[in-house]
Amino acid sequence: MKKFVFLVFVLSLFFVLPAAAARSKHIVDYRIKARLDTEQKAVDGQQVLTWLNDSDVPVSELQFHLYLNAFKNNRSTFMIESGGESRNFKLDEQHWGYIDVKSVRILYGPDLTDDMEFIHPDDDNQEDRTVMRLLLPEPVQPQQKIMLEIEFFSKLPKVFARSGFHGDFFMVAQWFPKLGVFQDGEWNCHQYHSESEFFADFGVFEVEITVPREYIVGATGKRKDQTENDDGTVTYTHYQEDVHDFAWTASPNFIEVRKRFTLDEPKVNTEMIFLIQREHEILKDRYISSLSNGITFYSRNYGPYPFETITLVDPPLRAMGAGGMEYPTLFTAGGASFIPEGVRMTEMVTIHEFGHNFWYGMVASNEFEEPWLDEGFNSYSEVKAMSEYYGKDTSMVDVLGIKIGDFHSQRMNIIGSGRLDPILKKSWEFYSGGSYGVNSYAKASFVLLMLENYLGEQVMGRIMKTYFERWSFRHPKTQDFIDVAEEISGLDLDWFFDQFLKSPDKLDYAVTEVTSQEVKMPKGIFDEGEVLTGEEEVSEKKPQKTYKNRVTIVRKGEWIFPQDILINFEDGEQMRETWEGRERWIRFVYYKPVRLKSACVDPENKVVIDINYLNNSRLREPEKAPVTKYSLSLMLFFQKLLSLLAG
Amino acid sequence: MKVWKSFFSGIKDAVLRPKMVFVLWLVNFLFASVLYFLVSGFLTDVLSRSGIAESLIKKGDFNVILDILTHHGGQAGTIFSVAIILFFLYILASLFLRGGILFSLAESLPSSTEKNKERFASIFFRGAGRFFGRFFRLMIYSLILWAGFVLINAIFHFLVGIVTSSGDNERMIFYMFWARLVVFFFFYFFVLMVLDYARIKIVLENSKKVFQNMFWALGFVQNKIGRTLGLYYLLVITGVLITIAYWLLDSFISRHTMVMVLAAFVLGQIFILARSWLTIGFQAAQMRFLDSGRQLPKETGG
Ligand SMILES: [Zn+2]
Repeated sequence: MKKFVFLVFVLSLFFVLPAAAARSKHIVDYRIKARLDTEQKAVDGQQVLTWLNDSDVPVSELQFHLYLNAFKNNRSTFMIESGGESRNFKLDEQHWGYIDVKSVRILYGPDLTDDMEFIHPDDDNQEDRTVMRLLLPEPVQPQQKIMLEIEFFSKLPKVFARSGFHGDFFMVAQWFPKLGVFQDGEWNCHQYHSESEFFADFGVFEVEITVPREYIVGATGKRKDQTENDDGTVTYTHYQEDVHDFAWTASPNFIEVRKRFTLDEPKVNTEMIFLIQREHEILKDRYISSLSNGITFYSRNYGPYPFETITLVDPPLRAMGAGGMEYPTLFTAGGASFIPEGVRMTEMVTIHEFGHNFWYGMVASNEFEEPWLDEGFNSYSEVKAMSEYYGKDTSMVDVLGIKIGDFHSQRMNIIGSGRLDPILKKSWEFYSGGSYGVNSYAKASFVLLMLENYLGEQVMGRIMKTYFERWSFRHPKTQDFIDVAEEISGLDLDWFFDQFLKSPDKLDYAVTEVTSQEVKMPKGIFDEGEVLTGEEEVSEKKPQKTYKNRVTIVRKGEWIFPQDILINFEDGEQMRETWEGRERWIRFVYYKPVRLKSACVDPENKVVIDINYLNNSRLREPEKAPVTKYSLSLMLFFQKLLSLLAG
Repeated sequence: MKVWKSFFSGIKDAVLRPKMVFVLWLVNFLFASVLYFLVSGFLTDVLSRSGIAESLIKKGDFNVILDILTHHGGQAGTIFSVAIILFFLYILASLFLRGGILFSLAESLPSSTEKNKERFASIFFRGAGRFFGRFFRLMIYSLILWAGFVLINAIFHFLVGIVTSSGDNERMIFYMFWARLVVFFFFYFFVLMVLDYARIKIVLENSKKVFQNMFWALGFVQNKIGRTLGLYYLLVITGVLITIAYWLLDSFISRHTMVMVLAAFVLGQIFILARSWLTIGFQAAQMRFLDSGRQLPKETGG
């Protein structure tokens, strides 16, 4: 009897829990048959979806994302928010996109097609059809599964906001009815916003993609099978576990390059698949080396890249609206044949989008609600990787003597931005697309760089590794990262995160005064009527001259951060001071036989988020040489301009 | 033959006029020095007291540019506005000098009847003064030609748009970019050339019929399109060669010490001198060319 109970218990575990080898808990299981209609620019799909109720409450409805409906008309929330323009591309109004759920039924059970309705959890926009609710005849009990059979038709827009077609290039992304995440007792299923990305549960995807024979296909996961059909089409079957989305691409104009990537420490063995536009063949080596750099950097610093494939899709120049986007084990890069090697946009995008396999793909935070957790983490990783492989000052541009680092290009966005939003905010609630971008990407990246400089590279390295290990294949929130950071560093970091994540302020410390005055000999009437004239012989004990040296530091921004201060004297002596940085200003005074030369806050440039580096240091005597240098250069430039254009 | 002859005589004419070259350079230098003082004052204010300034002579720092533009953008913008005003004033000054150059050159043409023994300055500034008003009017009238220039470019832009939007060929997009640039510069130089001949004609004939002369010059250039273009592009190529030589020399100078910074600046001045010399060469060669055609009816008529 006991044995029988045990057997039942083991069997039930087998059905409910993922296999031991699985990295994630398989909440969803999608088996999709997709047929590309290259004339209609559409995909006909049938999907069998299994969902596991992993919560401890019965669930009586399901919620689905129907992302393509964002492009159905100009009344969708996406179109209203974006004004019909996304990533510098306008939606072509001849080619709207949409997804039509033709039927839903419980597998071998009742038809639920009439039980679908569109809902608008984020706003009151009745016209938005990007979220669908399906009422179930009976609730799904905790740890039970439900299997649905869904037929859908996805009409692709002309490439816009990541998805669509351009000529015979197809980027089929966010294209099938995708379940939201049932979390904390409710569905987390947001509408598609102009400034939002995605959030979904881990599971298994098996997708059969049928395309005309001449099309080359790339997709999430590993190719399991390939069948030639009688009607001149080919069906490719791709399979992947432990991912939360599935995207694919097809075009007859790809060159397919496959290259194995291996790494010993840590162990990585994956196949790099490059789908490069024929006319971009010149970019092949750049793609190969930058992707290899990306895999190496992320694997070494966070954890080994675990999947068997990684596919890089190079879109045509005019379909760049689909470029620079991440999907599990597949991403779109971007480049043009005429971009010189010294302009490293292609490398940066490749590393960044690959990197999302870590910060989004595996560590799957909610991109709708906490965009900094993927974009900020990834921008931080990207700037470090770019510096490592292409030089801190040259990682973005190194051409004709012009040198710009990725660090600079991120900083450029931060220092001029407004104080409108904190980093921690829902992606569609930012003041503007620009504010979402600055805060989620560059500012978040700089906050992490600053944390690294504050805690030290080693401690930060351990924090990132632990966070990755602990939270990969799960859905962490901001507090989960803070907990890891505090645990590993052993410090209370609330003061840090409260400021930098939750307030929209800025940081700016400045040295405003560096002076040195000779201390005059005593002059006038002193005790007991002694009168001094200031010209008496100095006593032997005192040095010949004494200077009163003053350094004043001012906190100009609202954000507070402890500051190191370096003070240089003319005889080469250096002094270090520290300041908590809380008051609005602090003054240091030194009586010394030598004059002060200069003073500097944050001499090692650790507080990278400081918006003005120029005022971080001050010289007592001005240094005119660079002034002359740049003034002469500008004058000569102007002379040439006058001579060439107005002579 | 006539093209080469005009080219070499023009070059020679320019070589023989160092004072004129000097005046052109000086005016250029003086206009630009205004900017120097503004920029220098601005940078002294925002940069010279920063510790970053200590290392800047040895090594550039993009953060400095970012910080200056972000935190002192207002002042930088003011300087930029002043530069634009200077630019337009310089166009007027060049117009003034152009009269002097052309008048002085005309005085020494073989066809010139009066051999003037006056001093350089008095001839130069008499010419400059006499023709400034006419050249200014020409500049206003030339807006018609510039309108044509804009129109041609717009049409070409439209045609290129049709070609590139239908196809996806990235090479094509790339080549079309260059084709647009070529068309742009070809017609830009074309208008400049027509205006050159118009001014030369006005000076040679001391004519006050500015408007007519502009269209006369357009006709003249069209009638002798091969030769006028040939001569013009010989001069343009000379300019390109001078520029390449300058770039090569300049690339050897690393601006890491004050001495090298000054050396680069001096080399730059030599380049501007060469440009001034070429400006005179342009005028002299084209004047020779126009004048040689002009003599023929005179001789047959006389
Ligand atoms: Zn990203």
